[in-house]
Amino acid sequence: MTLNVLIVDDSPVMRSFVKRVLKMSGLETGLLLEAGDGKQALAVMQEHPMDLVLTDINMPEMNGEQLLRTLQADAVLRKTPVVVVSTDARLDRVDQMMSLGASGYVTKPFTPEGLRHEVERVLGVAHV
Amino acid sequence: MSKTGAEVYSKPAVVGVVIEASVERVLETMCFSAVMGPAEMELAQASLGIGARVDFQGPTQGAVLIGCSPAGAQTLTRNFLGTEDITDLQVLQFVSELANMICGAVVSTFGAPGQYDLGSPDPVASTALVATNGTRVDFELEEGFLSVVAYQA
Repeated sequence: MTLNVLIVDDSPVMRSFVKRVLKMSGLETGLLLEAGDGKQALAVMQEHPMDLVLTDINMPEMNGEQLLRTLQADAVLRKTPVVVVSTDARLDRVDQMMSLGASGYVTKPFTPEGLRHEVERVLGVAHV
Repeated sequence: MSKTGAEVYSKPAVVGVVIEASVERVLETMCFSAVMGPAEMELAQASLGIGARVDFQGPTQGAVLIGCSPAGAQTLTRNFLGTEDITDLQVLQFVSELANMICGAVVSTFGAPGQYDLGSPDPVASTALVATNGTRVDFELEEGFLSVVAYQA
């Protein structure tokens, strides 16, 4: 299974790192696109159907919470699984993001194996 | 009776151990790098060139500041991004991210998971580390130095 993944983070170096880790993880990736905030993410998703979105929470313009709310309000885009990738490890924050429609949550720092495990769990694909 | 995060946080020796463990974990998992060992504060401070600060709030509040020597920051950024071709802007962005991750790792040790709220990382001059009262640990890296100060407001 080849995955088209959208990486949403206001930090360009973190986007590059997540892209690198995805490649290292052994997951078969196709398009790896980037967005600097929720608004950019929505624009990308209108143009390119994604298999997965990895998003930070704290971002300018439209943050991760607002992105999740907007995706859930869209009959088509809500089907795309979203994994939150954040330093914020507060349990109420994790619960909030999952309640808003996130399918998974990864806390930084994370290993390539940890990210892969969560992506595979969310997508329901077998661990190789 | 178990101690609260705030009680433990007032013990510099304990905070120092937590800083060491946090830095090692972040560098290993996110930068594929290792700490070579402790460094003399004066030696590390003299080489620091880039810094960042992250405030935290929770059972206790304060901040974590980091400083990096230019060589250390460049090497860690290369390892983080997996490329030799990096820009000065990427190094600055990386140091902010590093401060964010180290602060998250430090404070998550002091309370139940997820009790702390972190602020956004802000760039600071390396002299800010000297001016800050708190627990300081200096590290020698494969190249250069990294210094971390954690303090409770």
